[in-house]
Amino acid sequence: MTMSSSRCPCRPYPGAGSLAAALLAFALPASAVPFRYAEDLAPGIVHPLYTTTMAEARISELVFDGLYTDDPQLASTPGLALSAGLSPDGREMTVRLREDVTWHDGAPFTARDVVFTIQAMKDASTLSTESGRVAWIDQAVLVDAHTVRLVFRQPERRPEDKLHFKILPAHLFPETPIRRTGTFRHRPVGTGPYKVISFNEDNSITMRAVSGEGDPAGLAEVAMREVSDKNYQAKLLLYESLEALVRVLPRDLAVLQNHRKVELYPYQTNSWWYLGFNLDRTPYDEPSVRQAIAALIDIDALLAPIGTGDVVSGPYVPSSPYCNHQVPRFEHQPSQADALLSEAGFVKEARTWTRNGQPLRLKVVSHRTLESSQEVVINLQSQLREAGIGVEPEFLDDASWKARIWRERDYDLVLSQWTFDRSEDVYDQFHSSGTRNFTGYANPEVDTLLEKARTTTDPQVKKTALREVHRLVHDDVPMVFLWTLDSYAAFSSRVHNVVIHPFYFFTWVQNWRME
Amino acid sequence: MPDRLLLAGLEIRAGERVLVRDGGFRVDAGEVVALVGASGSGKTLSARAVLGLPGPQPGVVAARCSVEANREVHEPWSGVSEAFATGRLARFRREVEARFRAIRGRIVGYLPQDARGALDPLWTVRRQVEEALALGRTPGRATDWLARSGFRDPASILPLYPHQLSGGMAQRVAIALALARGSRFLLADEPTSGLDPTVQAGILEEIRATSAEGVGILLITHDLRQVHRVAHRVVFMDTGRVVETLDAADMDRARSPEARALLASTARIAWRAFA
Amino acid sequence: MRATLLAGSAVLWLVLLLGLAGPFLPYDVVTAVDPEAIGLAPSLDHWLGTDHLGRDVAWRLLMAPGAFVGPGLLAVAVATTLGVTAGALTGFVGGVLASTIRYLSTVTASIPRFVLVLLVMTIYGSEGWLLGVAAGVAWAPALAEAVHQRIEVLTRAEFVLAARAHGIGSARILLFHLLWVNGRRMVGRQALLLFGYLLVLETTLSYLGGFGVPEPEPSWGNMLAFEFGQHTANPWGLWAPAIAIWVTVLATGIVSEVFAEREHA
Repeated sequence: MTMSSSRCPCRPYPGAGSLAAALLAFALPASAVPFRYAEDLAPGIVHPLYTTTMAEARISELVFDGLYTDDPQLASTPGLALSAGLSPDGREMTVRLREDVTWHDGAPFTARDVVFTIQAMKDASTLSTESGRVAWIDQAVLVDAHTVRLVFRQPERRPEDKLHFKILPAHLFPETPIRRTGTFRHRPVGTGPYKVISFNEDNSITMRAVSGEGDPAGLAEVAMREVSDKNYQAKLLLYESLEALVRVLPRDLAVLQNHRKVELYPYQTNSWWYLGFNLDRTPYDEPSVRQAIAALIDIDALLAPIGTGDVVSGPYVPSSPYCNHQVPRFEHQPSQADALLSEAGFVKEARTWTRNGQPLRLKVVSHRTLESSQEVVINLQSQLREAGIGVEPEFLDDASWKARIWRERDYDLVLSQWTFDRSEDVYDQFHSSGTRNFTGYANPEVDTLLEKARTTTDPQVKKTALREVHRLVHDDVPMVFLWTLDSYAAFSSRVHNVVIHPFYFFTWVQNWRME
Repeated sequence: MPDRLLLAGLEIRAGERVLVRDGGFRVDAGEVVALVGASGSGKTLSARAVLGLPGPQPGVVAARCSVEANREVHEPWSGVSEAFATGRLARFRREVEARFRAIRGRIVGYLPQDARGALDPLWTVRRQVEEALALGRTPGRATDWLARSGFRDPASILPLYPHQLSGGMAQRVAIALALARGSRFLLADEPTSGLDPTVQAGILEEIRATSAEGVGILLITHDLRQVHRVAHRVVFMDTGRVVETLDAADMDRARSPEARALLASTARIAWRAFA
Repeated sequence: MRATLLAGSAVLWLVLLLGLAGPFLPYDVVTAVDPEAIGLAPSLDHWLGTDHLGRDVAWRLLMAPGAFVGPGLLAVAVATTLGVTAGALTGFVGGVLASTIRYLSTVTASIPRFVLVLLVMTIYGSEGWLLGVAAGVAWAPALAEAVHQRIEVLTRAEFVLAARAHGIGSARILLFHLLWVNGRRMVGRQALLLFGYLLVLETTLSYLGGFGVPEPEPSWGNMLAFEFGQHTANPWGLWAPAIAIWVTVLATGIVSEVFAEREHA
C-alpha cells in the first residue's frame, strides 16, 4: 500500500477520471488501486444510529459490526458474538463476545460497548429511528468483560435474528443519549473490516482494511465516490474509474450486459415503489376516491419506460413470506373509477372531474434524486389528465422534502419507495404511531396485527398476521402500491468472488478479491 | 438697435495653468472679425465661452458678455463672478445654463473646427438639417436651405451619411446647420483647415456672403491671408492674451511684438511658397 | 453575407412565431405519453420519432419555443431597462448616484452570470418569468458597461458639442442622439446575444437536474436533458433539440454581427 493511491484525484468527470485511472494503473501495481464504488449521494455522516439512506446503511456495513450478521443463505451467524445460550423459557440470553476484537482506534472491544449501545438506543433522548430495534430487550446486563446477559420483555425464539444492529464504542461517548450532532458522525470508529481514513473534498470517503482482520488477499482499500450525475456512473465503470455500481440504471443494462470488462449481479431487494396519499386532506380521506384514483392508474404503463420488475399488491414483495398472494394487484379499470367518482359526488365537466365547483387536482410530490421519478410522474400526469384529473408535479430536494412531506404535510400524493432489511418490518410505515407513517394511516385492526407480529415468538402466527396486514392495507388504499424493480449491481470483471447482500450490500466484502 | 456681440474679461484656468487671461472680442452685425494667433493661444476657448461651452465652473469665468440681437439683450455671464465669490454657483448653474440655451443656435451659431466630426456620424444629412430647421421653427425645406449654402444639387446630398461627404461639402452642411435657426452671429472655428485652396476660396466666399446678409462672424484662423480676404477687423491672441486689435486693412502695421512675429512667420511661408 | 443574414433572421422570426403560436398549436404536451411508442425511429407518424416516454419529438420541438421566447423577451426588457438606464446615467450624468450605480453594477458583474442565475433558480424555483428576470439582471452590468463606454466616448465627440452649440438640450442629446441614433444597434446586438445566451442557459439549467423549464412543458434544453444517457433507438430525441439550439444561437450571432457591421460602416 502506498500513500499516493489514497490521494487519487477522484473526480466525477470521465475525462479527468479515466486519465487519472489510466495513469494510476500504469504507475502502480494493480493491488494499490482502491476498490471504488459509486453512490448517487454521498452519506453526509457515518453513524449507524442515524442511518436514513441506503448509502449510509451500506457504508455502516463496512465500518461497523453487529452481534450477529447474515451468512450467504441469509441465516443469522455470529459476528461480534462468539457463542450464546438461550434460557429454556426464552426470556434470557447470555452472549459470549469475541475477545480478539479491537476498535479502529486501538481500544479493546468489551461487553461494556454492547450494554452501552443497547442503553443508548433505549434512551428516550436518543432521537434515532433505529431505536425500535431494541424495544424488545428489557435490559442488558454486564456479566464480565466479555459476557452480556440480555433480558427480554417476552419469550423469544430466535433473538439472534434481531441482534444485527451495529455496536458503538462506549469509550467515545460521554453519556447514553447519543445525539445526531455529536462529533462521532465525522470521526466514526467501528470494529468492521474497514476503517474510515478520510472524508475527502470531493465528497468521497476513503476506507482501509483493518490489518490483521480478514484475509490479506482481500480489498486493501475501499473508496466511496459520489457520482451525482447518474448518466456518468456506467461510463465511469467502463472507463475503469470505478470498480462497482451499487445499482445499474435500467437504461444502462443493455450496454453493460455485453461489455467484457463488466459483470452484472442480479440481486433481490426488499424495496417497492408507491404513490402515497395525504389521508388528512379532502377528498383523499375518502376510500372510494382513493380507490377510484388507483383504478385510473395504468401501473404497467408507468413501469414500462423505466425498467422491469414485479407489480406489488401490498406492503410485501411477491418473494416475501408475508406476501398475501390472494390479494389482487391494482388493475387499470377506468369505468369502475368513473362509477366510484360519480358515487362520491364528482361530475365530469369540461373533461375534468369536479365536485362543488372544485376541480380534482393532485399535487404530486417526488424526490429529485429518486431515479426515474420524472418519467413516472410525467407519465402519471398524462394518464390522469386523460382521465380528467389535473396533476401538479413537484420535484423536491432533500431539505424541502423533509419540510414538505414530514413537517408541513403539504402534498396530495407522494411518489417514493421504501426499502427494507431482512426483518421486512412495516410497523413504522403502517402503525398509527409508526415513525415513518407520514400518510396518516390508522387502522386499529392493522395496529393490533402489527403489534402481534412484533411480539409473537411463533413464526407461523407472525406470517398469518402480516399476510392479513398485507390484505387490509391493500383494501384501505393509503397508497397505490406500484412495483419492485429488478436490481442489478455491476462490477468490474477484475473483481472476483462477489456475493452481494440484498440490503447491506457489503456484508461479505471480506471474500471479494481484486486483480 | 444694431446687433452686437461683446465678450470681455474672460479668464480660463486649468489647475495652475492659465489658458486665457483677460480674453475677449467684439463683433458687430455684418462684420467679419478675425481671431488670429498660434495654436494654443486660446482662440477656440474664447469663442466657445460665448456659448457657455464650457459654462461657468471653477477656473472659468467671464467678467462681461453681452449679446444684443433681435431687440433682445442677453448677458449670460452676468453675476457669475459674484456667485463664485460667494460660493453660490451650484444653485446658480441651472439658471446660467438656461441663459446660454437662449442664445445657442438661436442667436449665435457655432461652426466647429472639424466639420465632418461635427455631424452625427449615424445620421443622414437630411435628418440633421431637418432637426436643425425644426428646432428653430425655420420655414422651408432642407433642400432650400442647403441650396442657400451654395450646393448646386442639394437633393443628391440629403440621403448621404457624413462619411460619404467630402471635406468641403461637410463644411457647407455644417454652415447650413449653424445658421439654420436664423443666428445673427456665427463663430467659425478654422472653417478652411484641411481643405484644398479652391474649396477654401469657396468657403470664404460663403462666409463673406453670409456677413453680407447682416450676420456678424468671428473667424478663427491662423492663416493671415484669409484675414486679408474677408475680415474687417483682426484680433491677435498670444498665450491666452489679446495682444492687439486693429482694422484688417491696417494689419501690417501691428505694433505688438507677438503680432509682428506672427506676421513675419506668415511672410516667410509666403516667400517660400513663391520661391 | 446577405444570404446568411436572411437565413439567420428567418430562423429568429420562425422561433419567435412558434413561441407566440405555441399555446394555439393542436398538441397537448401533458397527455402525450404513449408507453406503446417508446423510442421509435422517425416515420410518417412521428417525423423525428419519439422519446423514451413515447412522446413525439417533432411536436415537442415545435412547442418548445413557447417556453423560452417569453422569458427571452422578458430578459431583454429587463437587461435593456436596467443596463441602458445605468449606462446612460453613469456615462452622461455622473455624480454620486452614478458612482453608486457603477459600484452596484461592478458587484453584480463580479458574480459569474451563470452562478447568479442558478442561485436565483434554486432559491425561488424554476419559473419561466424568473429565469427571464434573473438572466436580464445578470446580463445588465455588461450592457450598462457597454452603454457607459459608448456614451462616455460620444459625449466628448465634436458633434455632441456642435449639437449643444446648436441649442439642443441635454435630454434630447442623451436620449435621442446618443442612445437612439448612436446606441440602438449596439443595444440590439446585446439583446440578440442575450436571447441566445438565455437559450444556452436554459439548456444548462435543465441538464443540471430540473432547474430549467419543468417537464412536461417542453424546452429544447429539457428535451436534451431528458433524453441524455438514454440508450433508446431514436437518436433524434437528442439530435433534434441540439441542432435546434445550435441553429438558433448561430442565428442570433449572425444577425447581431450584421448590427455590428452596420454600426461600423
